[in-house]
Amino acid sequence: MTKRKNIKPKIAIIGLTSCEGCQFVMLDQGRRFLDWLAKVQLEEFRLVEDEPILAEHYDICFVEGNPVTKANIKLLKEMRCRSDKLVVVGNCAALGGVWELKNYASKTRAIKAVYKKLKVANPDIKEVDNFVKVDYVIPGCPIDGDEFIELANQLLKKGSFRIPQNPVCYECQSRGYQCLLQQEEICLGPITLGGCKAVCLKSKQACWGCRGLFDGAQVENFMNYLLKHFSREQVYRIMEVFGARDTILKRLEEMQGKKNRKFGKSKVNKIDNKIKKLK
Amino acid sequence: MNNEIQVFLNKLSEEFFLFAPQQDGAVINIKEVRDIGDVDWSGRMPTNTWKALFLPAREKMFDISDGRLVKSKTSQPKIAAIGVNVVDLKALTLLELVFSRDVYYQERRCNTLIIGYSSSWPNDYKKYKIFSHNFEEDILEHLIFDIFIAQFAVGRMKIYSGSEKGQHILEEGGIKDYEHIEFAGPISEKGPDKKMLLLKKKMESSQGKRIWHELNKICIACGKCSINCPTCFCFDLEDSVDPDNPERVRKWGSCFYNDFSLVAGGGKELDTVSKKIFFWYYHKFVRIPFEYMMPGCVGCGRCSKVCPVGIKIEEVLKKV
Ligand code: SF4
Ligand code: SF4
Ligand code: SF4
Ligand code: SF4
Ligand code: SF4
Repeated sequence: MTKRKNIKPKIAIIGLTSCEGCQFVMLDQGRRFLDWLAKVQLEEFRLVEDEPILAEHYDICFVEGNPVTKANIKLLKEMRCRSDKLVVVGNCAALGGVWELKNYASKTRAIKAVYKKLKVANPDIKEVDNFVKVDYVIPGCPIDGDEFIELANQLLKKGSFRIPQNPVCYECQSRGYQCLLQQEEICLGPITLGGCKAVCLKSKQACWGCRGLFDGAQVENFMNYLLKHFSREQVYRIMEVFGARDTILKRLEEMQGKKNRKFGKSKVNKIDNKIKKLK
Repeated sequence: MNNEIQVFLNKLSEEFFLFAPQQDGAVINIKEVRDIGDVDWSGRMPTNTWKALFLPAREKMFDISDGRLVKSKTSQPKIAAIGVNVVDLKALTLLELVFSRDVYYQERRCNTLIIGYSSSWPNDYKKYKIFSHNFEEDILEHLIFDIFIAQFAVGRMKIYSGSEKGQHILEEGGIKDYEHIEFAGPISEKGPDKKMLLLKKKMESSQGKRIWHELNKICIACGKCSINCPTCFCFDLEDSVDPDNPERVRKWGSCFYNDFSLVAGGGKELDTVSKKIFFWYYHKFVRIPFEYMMPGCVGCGRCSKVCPVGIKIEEVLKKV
């Protein structure tokens, strides 16, 4: 695509399967969002349009929601082909969303409990990056309005997209909230990416990891700590609420794998078995 | 607290926002005073620190207009910090030194009145079990404060002024019976603290010791210890491009997070937990004593209290 100066970047905002809460957060920003829209050419905004018409090319495509249905997957792939940058928005798109719960339970039982009579497809829930390449992630359930405005503006400036890599603990403690982990509650704050202003902790609700891991999360030590104080079932249940369990265990495996390379083979096997048990 | 002080504080509240330790659920926290009767005079160590009054967790430094940085105009409220214990005064004395050339810090400091307090003078060091340095009898000469209220165990009370500002405010408040102590710099005439120097030496030769490997396996790098430490003063700078509010912000940082040692290109100096925690101790017990001749850890015990995995600084120091 050739680009001339003064041409506004073409933007698409699409929703797959989701509660649309994240798209509403964008609208909720009011004038700030409109100011941002003035700098771009909005081609698609699925929340507010009746009959979307696909453009040939987009500079940036924001994807909210999870590709659950066949139509979702088709649209997602189509948008990827037509877009320079693809940004996933919100927990559903980034980590699978609340309905990833059924991956961890029996999905046949889950579907029966919800759709008592109706026959519906019952696929495994997979994050967007299982289908297409993802360039950037704006995390959270829902996303944080201030952070969205900041990042959306950064995206218009080439190459400056960055979320400070601090855990939720940082925001929780610098705001003076009480630590729930020290009151025998499972709180995923120490390994979860901050930026949400620790809203949950403000209301004395433990962090369940909706924003996913940050760079530097000490998953291995944290997991050991949790398993010393809580049962594996308790820990997994909390990690499953926002679909973070698979990501966390994958990072754990990577961290342990990295260590293995430093040891001999027998040790590797031992740790492998440990990982298998963990799963 | 006796009537004279109550009346004095009441008068003070006409000019200043008062901050003091107060009961907050099960703990003591420093917060704004709504009712002078709420101030906690028990001398228990507050859970949070005073540093936020001088070094906010998030502070706007510059507005960015047309790509240029313009110092943000902020008017600092007048604040009286009431009931700062000796250990916390020691921490503030260090911050004062570190930020002596920082306009933002100094603007705040100018508008703040620091009122120190001891509930059991001069036995606070025993009470708080201070492990990082020794108690010196002339300690008040080497701490910054405007006013200091010393409650002796036997019930007697003595008031000191530590600055002209303090003197002035005491006089205005009708308190005539006080002694003035001239600040003689942060370091005692006898030289740097012996215990501090001993710890420095131990730390310097501790690299590779078993304790760091042990901590590598348990510390979760949550950074709670450094956020709650009264002397941790590191910060990150963050630029925002939000057109409504383009700004440069300074916010508390922590050496436990990767951003701390991240350099352009993505390399990180501190890439393991053991490096991070070693760096933290090394800064407190070697580099700060080296640079400022003052202990980088005042021994308040907050970091031990907030650590979710139970790492106790006193115990670690025994093992280095
Ligand atoms: S991430 Fe949460 S708020 Fe956003 S669309 Fe999904 S369920 Fe809704
Ligand atoms: S409550 Fe959670 S987020 Fe807050 S400090 Fe404790 S572990 Fe961290
Ligand atoms: S505290 Fe945790 S669960 Fe709550 S919004 Fe932040 S990241 Fe999500
Ligand atoms: S509070 Fe404890 S676990 Fe957290 S970073 Fe400090 S030493 Fe490590
Ligand atoms: S005891 Fe811990 S929290 Fe207190 S000054 Fe020392 S390092 Fe900081």
